[in-house]
Amino acid sequence: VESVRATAGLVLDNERLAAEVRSQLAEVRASRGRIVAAADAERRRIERNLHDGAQQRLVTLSLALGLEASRADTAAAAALSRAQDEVEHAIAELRELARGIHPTLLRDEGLEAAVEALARRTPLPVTVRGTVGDRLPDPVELGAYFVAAEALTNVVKHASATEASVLLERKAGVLRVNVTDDGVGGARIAADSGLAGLRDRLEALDATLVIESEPDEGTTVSAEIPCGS
Amino acid sequence: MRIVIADDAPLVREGIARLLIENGVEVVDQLGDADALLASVRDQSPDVALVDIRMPPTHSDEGLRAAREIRSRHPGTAVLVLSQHLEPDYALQLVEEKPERVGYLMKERVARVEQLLDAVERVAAGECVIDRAVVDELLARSRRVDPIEELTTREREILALMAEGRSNQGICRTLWLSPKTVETHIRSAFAKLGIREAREDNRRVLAVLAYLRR
Repeated sequence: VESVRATAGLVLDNERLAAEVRSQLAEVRASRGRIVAAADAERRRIERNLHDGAQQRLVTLSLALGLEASRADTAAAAALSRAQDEVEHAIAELRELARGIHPTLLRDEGLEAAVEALARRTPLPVTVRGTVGDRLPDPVELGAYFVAAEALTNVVKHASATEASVLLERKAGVLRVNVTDDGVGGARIAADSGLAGLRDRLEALDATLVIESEPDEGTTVSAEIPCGS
Repeated sequence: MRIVIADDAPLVREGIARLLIENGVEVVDQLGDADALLASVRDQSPDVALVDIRMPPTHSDEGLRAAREIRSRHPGTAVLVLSQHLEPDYALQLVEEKPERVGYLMKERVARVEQLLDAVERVAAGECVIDRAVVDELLARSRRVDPIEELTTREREILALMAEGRSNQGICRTLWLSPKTVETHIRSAFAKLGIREAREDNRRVLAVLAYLRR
């Protein structure tokens, strides 16, 4: 009787511990999701501050220089114009920075438009196929966008590809992003790489990131992100 | 020339106004949001509205929406949108429907008085102005085979200038070509793009859209 009681106690303890672990795991998962969502909100804020703060100030500065230039003699006007060149470079660099932090086009026009703009900026032919439909939560759209951005950056840097394609597809509550190229293959997710960072971000959304890249058979990066509907 | 300026940053708005006033332009109103802008355009009927793309309340594309509304409700007022975004999508949204009396200029251009005046005068004269940087962004993309690929470098150069809203005369001046040579290139470009009988203006617009849309 004693041993039966002891065994039953162990089983009960096990059950209790397992339940505790399950609930802790769910809590960790939820908090990871919240951390990503908070980081995304912060990205949005930084992007807005760059545009409405630093960029506005630089435009104001350039306006002051322009006003002086329009009153000055030729030599002084030329010097002021060169100063304006520098200010304009700074504005252009800030613009690139802001776009990398939280692309305005993604916020305003959604995933398809933003991915098409990415494709256009990529210095090799990229076709974009598929549709996404309604707007999705911010972390889902950003996650999918960063997958396309990082994968296309890698295609340009490492793949020696002649072309690439991006497929966007939404089915049964999952958003799929596939980026395929016809390059040299042999890619993998290295520890400190952009893709590894991206995988962490995606795992917080319960999403998966897979890379298929046999030598000489091109590379496919695919992400599947649960998106609710 | 009578102008209204809409930008929610007072310093920027005043800076633009001073630059314009010193150069003989009449600034009839300065506004900080889209509603005030629309009311002012209705009351003042300015020749040109200079509109920042980001305005309250959400600071996303309020300016673009206001610009569209001005274009449909007050066609006598030309609209020049000032934008922080080097994104062709916004520019195309703005001009696609009716590429006249409208322009999309990068924000920092306003500080270059000759560029600002040039753009303002051209939209007021009915032209369509697209910032050189946006045109470059569109040009930079490499695409699958399409009729644009068939064009010679010179023809593409001319289309790019057309896309900026230049007249044949303006193109001649920029490229140092004779009017006859420019016309020959344009005819050849139209033919390659499959644009045949239509009014000259409409053909130009069709060609530019074919070129920008790729």
